[in-house]
Amino acid sequence: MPYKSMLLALAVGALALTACDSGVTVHEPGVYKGKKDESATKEAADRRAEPLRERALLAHTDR
Amino acid sequence: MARMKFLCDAERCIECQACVTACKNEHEVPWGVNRRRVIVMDDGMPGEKSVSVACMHCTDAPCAAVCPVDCFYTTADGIVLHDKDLCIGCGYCFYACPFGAPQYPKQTAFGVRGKMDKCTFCAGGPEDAHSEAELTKYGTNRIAEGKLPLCAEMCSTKALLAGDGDVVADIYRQRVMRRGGRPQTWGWQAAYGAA
Repeated sequence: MPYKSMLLALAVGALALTACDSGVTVHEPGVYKGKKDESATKEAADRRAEPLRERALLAHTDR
Repeated sequence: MARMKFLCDAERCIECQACVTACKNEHEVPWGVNRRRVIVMDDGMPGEKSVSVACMHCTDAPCAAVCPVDCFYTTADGIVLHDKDLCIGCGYCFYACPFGAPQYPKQTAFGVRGKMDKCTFCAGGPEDAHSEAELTKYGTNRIAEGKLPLCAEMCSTKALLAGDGDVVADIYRQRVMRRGGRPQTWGWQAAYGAA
């Protein structure tokens, strides 16, 4: 009898564990894992686009 | 949206290596690491050509594709950067890069590699702009100051161009039109001789 109840407890335990959250992602391949870079955002790129464009025309055009 | 690119005009490059020196000086790059190099084709032969090469900030960067710790990221304007705190110095990016851009400081004997170092397009890294950490790990951040990479800005013959790909292509196209023909490093005449 104790053997059967132990088996039952194990089965219930195993079934209960299957209900654990499966949304945990240990590793997402190909996605940057490092620190966030504020200057990499679209807003930052938009802000510097025009000054850099003017700079390129100034620096690279033949005098 | 701008996409930052380098372009070296092989007709103008005179192999002065000033871009290499400027880069090393600006970012205090350690000995043994060259973020930029000048490659000479047909050295000493008639028609010799030189091209300044660094990280080309690929749109679909193979270094990022092979990195096992995913330390690479691309800014919204196409600059490929990496986080040295994540880098494990495995060397995969070096083997994947067609330009040999990733470099490794030799830290100890027996070829142990340090953290990968490469051209940042003078845009620093993921640390705060102009912070001590950024300066130490990645070098100066000229892009945040509205300046272009120093190698291109100080090129005496204006062979090395950097900036938005559209602007760079436009400047180069105007040069080629002014020269009256396309450069013959490659192409029909270079391959088969004048008909």
